[in-house]
Amino acid sequence: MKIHLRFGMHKDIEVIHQAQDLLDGLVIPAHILAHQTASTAAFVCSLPNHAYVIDPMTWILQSPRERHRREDGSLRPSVGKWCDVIHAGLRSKLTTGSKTAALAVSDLPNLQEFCEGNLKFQTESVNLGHVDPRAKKYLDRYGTTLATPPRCVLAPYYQFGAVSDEWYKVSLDAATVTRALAGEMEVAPVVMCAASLLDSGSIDQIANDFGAFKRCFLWIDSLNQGIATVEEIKRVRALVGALAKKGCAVETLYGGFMMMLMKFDGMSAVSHGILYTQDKAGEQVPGGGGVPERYYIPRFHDFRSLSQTNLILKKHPELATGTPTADAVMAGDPDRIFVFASQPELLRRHFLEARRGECEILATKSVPQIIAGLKDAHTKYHASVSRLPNPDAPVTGGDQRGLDYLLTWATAFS
Amino acid sequence: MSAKVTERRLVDVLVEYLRRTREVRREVPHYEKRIDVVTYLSSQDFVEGIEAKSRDWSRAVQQAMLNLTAVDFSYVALWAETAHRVDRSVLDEFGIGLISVGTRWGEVEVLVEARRSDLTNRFVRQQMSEHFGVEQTV
Repeated sequence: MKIHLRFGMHKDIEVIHQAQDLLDGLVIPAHILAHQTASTAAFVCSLPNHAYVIDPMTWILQSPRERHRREDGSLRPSVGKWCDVIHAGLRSKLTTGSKTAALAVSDLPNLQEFCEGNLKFQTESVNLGHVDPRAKKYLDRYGTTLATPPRCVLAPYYQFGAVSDEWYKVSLDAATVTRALAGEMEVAPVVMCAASLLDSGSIDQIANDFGAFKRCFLWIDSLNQGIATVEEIKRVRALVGALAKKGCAVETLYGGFMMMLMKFDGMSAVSHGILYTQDKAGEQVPGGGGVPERYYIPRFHDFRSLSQTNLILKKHPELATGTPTADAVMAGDPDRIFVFASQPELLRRHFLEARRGECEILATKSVPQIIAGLKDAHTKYHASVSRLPNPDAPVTGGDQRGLDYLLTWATAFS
Repeated sequence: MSAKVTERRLVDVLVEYLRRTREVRREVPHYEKRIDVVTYLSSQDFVEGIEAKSRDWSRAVQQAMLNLTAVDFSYVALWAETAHRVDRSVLDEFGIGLISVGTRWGEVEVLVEARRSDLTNRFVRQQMSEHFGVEQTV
């Protein structure tokens, strides 16, 4: 199981450098690379042993135009720059037309030109000599001069509501066109849909169409691992298995430990941000920020707010461990969770260490052993934790209180 | 009157009453949240945290639970007309106290005394004391 970090903010660069041994690769959102090309590209080059991919972010065209516009009608800078580098006509498509409407398939730019623009951006943006001489100062800072290509090109993709709809077709067409354009470079499509549409017929068709690619990324819309149902998990497992059966390497753009458990179905890699974005809804446009810091509790395979974590650790001090960072900071004293509040970089390091530890679990334990561990954590802690408030609810959108999700996973993976 | 104004009035009445006997701070940071009212009684070296809500008492109790790591005693404060609706078993389970607040100055009554928190984090507690200029070594 490979762990790829979804790059989000430049303030995390130092943490990522320090934790690079815990990561296998990077996912770079195209709008960030387009907006801050020189610094982002140099950062990518500063980690030459970490393969990267660029998420083309084309799905944002399915959001109402007003989400991309500022009050004066102009585009938000990152989206505007992204438009300009992908296709010359894209900016005007977002700045004109009904602000409450998204683009229709018929509004999309010419498919061939759009795929060419996406391919050029993904293969040349980090090739700094082509882009921006200002990158030199960043390269000097990192002491690197390397320009590396992505490990594969992600084709333009969109969320589809059914395998018969036109968004499905245009996503598949974009992948096919990009593959024809890319020559030797590997091309991977992204399948973006809700778990609810994954019946056996849809799974067969997706596997037949997208399983023809060597690699395929999944984005299961809004699959929050804390509230996902047994049925939803089983549907996603079936899709992963069907794609893997075709010889396709399956990765997920957003995932946590629940998606990592699909290693046993053929999942080869997950990506996520630091502390957030283990799941994502297509309705969420990029941007925002200002979310609270959170602590990852390894036995729970999930985050809790710091205030709630403090309560949990006071009740169950044996949980104040699980990673080298947690051991070093807390040294058996759960009150020292307080240190994480003033040093959030330690929260990030701790999470990435915990994630690497989860990879170790997957590598060394059988499915029955892992399921037994999930059930054991539920037995020991659910009654206590379920009585606590969930301050994360406004952020995650879920009403996750206790640890019932561990039993859900145990059932879905049995 | 909007709920927001009503809640402000509740806190104003409460704070005016508390200031007669102890030092009071409002909106004190506690991890990712803020505690509505924190008081310090120097003669006893007690720190109390109070979550005030004009309507949603269960939300106030949830916030008061989280305050158990920060203070010695944790309370919820509600309008007198709402206070009777609170599930007292929840308060008892966590040792959270209940304060009834009326609309007039001085109309404040402790209906349930809080138990001393056994979940207090000494570092967070020290941080609370420092808001009152109290330096302690933990």
